[in-house]
Amino acid sequence: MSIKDSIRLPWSPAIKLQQLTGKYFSQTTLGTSILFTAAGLVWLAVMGLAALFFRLILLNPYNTEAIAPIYYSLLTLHGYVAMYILVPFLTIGIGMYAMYKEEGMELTHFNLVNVLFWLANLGMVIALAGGPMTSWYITPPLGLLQTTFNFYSGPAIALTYIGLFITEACITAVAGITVFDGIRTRRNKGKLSIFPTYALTFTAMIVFTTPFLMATLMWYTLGILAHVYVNPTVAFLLFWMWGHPVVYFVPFAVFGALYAYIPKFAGRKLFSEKWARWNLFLLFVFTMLVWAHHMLVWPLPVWIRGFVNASTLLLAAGSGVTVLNLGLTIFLAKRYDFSDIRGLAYFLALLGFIIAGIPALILPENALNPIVHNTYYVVGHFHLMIWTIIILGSMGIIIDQFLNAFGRIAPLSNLSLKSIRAGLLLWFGSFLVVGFAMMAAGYQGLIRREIAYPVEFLPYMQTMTIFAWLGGIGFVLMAVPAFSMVTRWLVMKYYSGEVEQ
Amino acid sequence: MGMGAASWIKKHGELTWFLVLLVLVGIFATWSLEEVVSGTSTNYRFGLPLASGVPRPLPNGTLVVNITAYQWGYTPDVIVAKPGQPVLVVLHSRDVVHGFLLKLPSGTVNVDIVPGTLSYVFFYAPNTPGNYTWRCSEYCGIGHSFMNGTVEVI
Ligand SMILES: [Cu+2]
Ligand SMILES: [Cu+2]
Repeated sequence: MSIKDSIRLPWSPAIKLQQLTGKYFSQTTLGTSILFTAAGLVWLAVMGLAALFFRLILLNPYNTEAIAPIYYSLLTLHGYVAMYILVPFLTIGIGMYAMYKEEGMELTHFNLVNVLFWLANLGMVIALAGGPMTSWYITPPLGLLQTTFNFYSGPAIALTYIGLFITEACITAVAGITVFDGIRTRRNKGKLSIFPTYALTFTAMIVFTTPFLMATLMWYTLGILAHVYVNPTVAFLLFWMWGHPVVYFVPFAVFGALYAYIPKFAGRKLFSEKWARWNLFLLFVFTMLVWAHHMLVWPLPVWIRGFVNASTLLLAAGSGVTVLNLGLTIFLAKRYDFSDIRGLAYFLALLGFIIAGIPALILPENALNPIVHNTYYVVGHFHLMIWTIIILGSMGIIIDQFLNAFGRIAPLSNLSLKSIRAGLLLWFGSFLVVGFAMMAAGYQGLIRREIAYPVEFLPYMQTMTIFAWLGGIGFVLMAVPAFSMVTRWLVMKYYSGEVEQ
Repeated sequence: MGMGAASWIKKHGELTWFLVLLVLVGIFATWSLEEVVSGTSTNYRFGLPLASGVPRPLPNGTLVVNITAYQWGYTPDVIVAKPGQPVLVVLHSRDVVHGFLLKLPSGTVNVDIVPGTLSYVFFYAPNTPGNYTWRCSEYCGIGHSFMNGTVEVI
């Protein structure tokens, strides 16, 4: 007996609800994957704008405490959005797309996933509404002090951590549902193809690691509401057990796409798919083991330092194997198809990964890390990773996703293609400059998260700000065609009655 | 010949590359550990937190300074030392996590100061007289940028 039969009222909330979810919830796997990647792009725009504005504040080396709350609120928005929602949304969106595209695997719990999606966004808004000024570490005891919040005060500051908890709980559930549904609906036999193998492995990693963050957030909440003691070192370690792996969710999911598609654009087979598959274990295991390298200037015993040093380098070796797989695939090919914007995006993502990875080799070294720890050197390194393998890699996948979903009735025009190509190159070039300006300044001692700094660093700050804005224009050049494509598709489909074949 | 190289890469390239990387990892890790354990690495020389970088016994004439970090400053915020004098700084935080980053001509001192735990820094004052500024390197709230102190070498 269905709901319709059981309820005979002239107006029933259940039926109304069914109509609403039928109309407003995405009910296809492709559509839901776009829900997550597109929301990721919106959050990316929000956090990028925040960065562009706080970079303007940084043009003044003589800032006073008066502007600090604005600066740190923007910085927090930037970091919170990036790590707590953008990264998992992109990972989940890519995971869903990979399983749908390569294996025809489907989601089945659409209503649940949609509800969780909106709740995750809501949680983020609740967290940010408090105006926290903690950047993204939320390190105790600093993160628990009332002085680190603009708008929430007293016990209400717990709302920030409750909001984040809601977001992370929803994200964990969606990631679990995605992998579960995917496996259940798989029809093909044999080995899972490489893109979904990587994308789903790192979607699953959300499920394994986010509970550590949720535990930390719960601890903070209890610390604020029930005055439970929060030990800074233990909380920090717990936080980084999520905080380290999270930086690998997107890059390693993107590796799957690079493994699958770079060979297509190079017109030859992937150099050693066997090693690409073995590498997955290395990346998965060591991603979870190296977190304490974020604490090399903390009071930690020597044995932890030795362990983290070695395990981080092993992880780097795994990435080195990836570089070889993909680099040799391109190098040994007769040609590479740069004319396809996806081919270009994947190539730039790989190139950026190599360029950003090399300066990082000194970071796990106990002997060298303190020279640059907490300086712009580290900021430059990880932003270069974000701008290339994470953003450009995702862009390649998202372009493919959009072409798949909207391209049949709303193909990209020539002008749009040119705009996207120009955007990719402008983004890559500009942020290469920003990244190296950051690393150069950091090596000379520019400390991060400062609003006032020695005036000799002003030229570096100016370079960073100008080129970051140029990179922002690059984003617009990519976003406008995507936006026009989606609006055109909506008009064609819902107002002109165009039917997809 | 060119074909020979390509086919060799095809056959053995991956394993070779992986072994090369493993050897590099081994060298880097051993070097780093050796330096930490023997006390010759940069940050060891300048004091790994937890006192493991402090030479025992302390060299003759070592200046020992106890510094308390708070939001937002250090007391004392001046260390007066003679050129080349050994200096031991014991750092304690009264409130949140702070940092201590001091660029000296001979290297960089960089440790965090975690409430409840002492951090130790050991270095030789530069031979050139002058002022050397240390700054808080760990974000500690809105006054973070204004937290600093000076080593005066006279
Ligand atoms: Cu890390
Ligand atoms: Cu401080």
